[in-house]
Amino acid sequence: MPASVVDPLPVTAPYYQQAGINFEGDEWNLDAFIEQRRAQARKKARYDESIPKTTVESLTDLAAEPYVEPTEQHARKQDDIARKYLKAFRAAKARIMELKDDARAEGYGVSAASENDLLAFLNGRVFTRRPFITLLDNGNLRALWKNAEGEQIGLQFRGGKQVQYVLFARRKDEGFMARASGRDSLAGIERQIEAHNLGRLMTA
Amino acid sequence: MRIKYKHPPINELVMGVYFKEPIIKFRSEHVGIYWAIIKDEFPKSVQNIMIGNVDIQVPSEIFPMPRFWFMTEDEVYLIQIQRNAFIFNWRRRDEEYPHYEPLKKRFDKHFSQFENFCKEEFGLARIDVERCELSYINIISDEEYFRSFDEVKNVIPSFVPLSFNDKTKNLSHFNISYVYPCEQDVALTVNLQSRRHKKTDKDALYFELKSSGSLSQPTKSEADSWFDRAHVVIGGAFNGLTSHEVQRQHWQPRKN
Repeated sequence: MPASVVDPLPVTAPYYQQAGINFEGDEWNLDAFIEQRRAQARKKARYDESIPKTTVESLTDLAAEPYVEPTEQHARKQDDIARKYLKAFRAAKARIMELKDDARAEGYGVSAASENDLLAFLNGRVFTRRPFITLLDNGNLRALWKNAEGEQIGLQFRGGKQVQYVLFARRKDEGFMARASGRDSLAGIERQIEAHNLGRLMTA
Repeated sequence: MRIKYKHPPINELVMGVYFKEPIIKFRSEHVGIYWAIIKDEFPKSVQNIMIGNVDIQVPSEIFPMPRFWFMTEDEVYLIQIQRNAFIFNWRRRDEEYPHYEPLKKRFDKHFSQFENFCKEEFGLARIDVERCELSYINIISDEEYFRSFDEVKNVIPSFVPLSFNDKTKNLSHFNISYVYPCEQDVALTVNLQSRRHKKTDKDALYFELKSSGSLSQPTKSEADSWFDRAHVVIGGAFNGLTSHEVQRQHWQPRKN
């Protein structure tokens, strides 16, 4: 058999699969890829000699901690919060995907407007505790944060940047539970949560 | 009593505020919008890693947002922004040190501009400030009273290096930090380092006085009061730590 005059085209995986992204699976592969790229960037920054170091790294494991400047401590604390927030956000997003899959399997759907508003809310403020997310009969998503004392933030995302809310806040001095409910805008609900000092339920 | 000097050895002044929470809606794509507002005055830009070598990343962000520098054409003034901080520097080039008060006014102007940008772009009611920092960085090199590291004592009379034998007379390098809690919310850090002058390659004494602290209330008036007190703490430390002889003869005080 005569040899081909041209080389066969190389059989390679699409670029995104080479990079470790599998669009046919779930989105966790994308998250893993992003995490890998971040780790690479951090490693590069650590070993880039042109960048001045702010701390002296020990070559041994010492029994005593070095002094860390308060500003650096502040940055590390915020970085830790950001990592917890990312984790909680991903867990919330995975839960939404799960609810969508379940609804699809049963012949229902999740309101896209409700989903968009919930994601916009979660994208707009720091939370380190993931909410309980449920799908209501009307196709809207509901997010709930509560604590052992019975305090809660319950938000139904109605779409069109409207939120129906139920807030329980314990008044410690007076010894009773204040309750508030109603409808507000996405921006307004932030103010409602702060006014009732309930932001701590999302970060505790 | 505050003392201003005609020829202070200051090389850089830094004022910074660190936010209570990182602005998570603030992403790299917004930085260009902010730069457009200040670009006439700050036409140069550089990227740096974040202070503390952290990421403070938010969902759906592929790459960590760096710290951005925006500089005036002559590189004397510098604005630094990262997701959780706003920092303003004055750096010595050819002009004389303008002193604290005009620089604080400039800081206020630029921070207010940044806060307005955040209000409009992200719907924030205000930026809550948690920590403040004020740093004076003095560089002393090739002076009549300081030519090498053997003469640090001429500048800072209380400086005594560790000594174990006569060889320490030729101290070649040091890197020392002292932290003094001065007021309930103001800690003073004094950093002393041996460095080489970039232009002359001669011994240079790096003498930094940095006040930092947390605010009891995240308000602008609280921050203003904090900066004024931090300025007094630094002034007192500078006058107390440095040689009165050098102050009088070379830096030349003028009483206010």
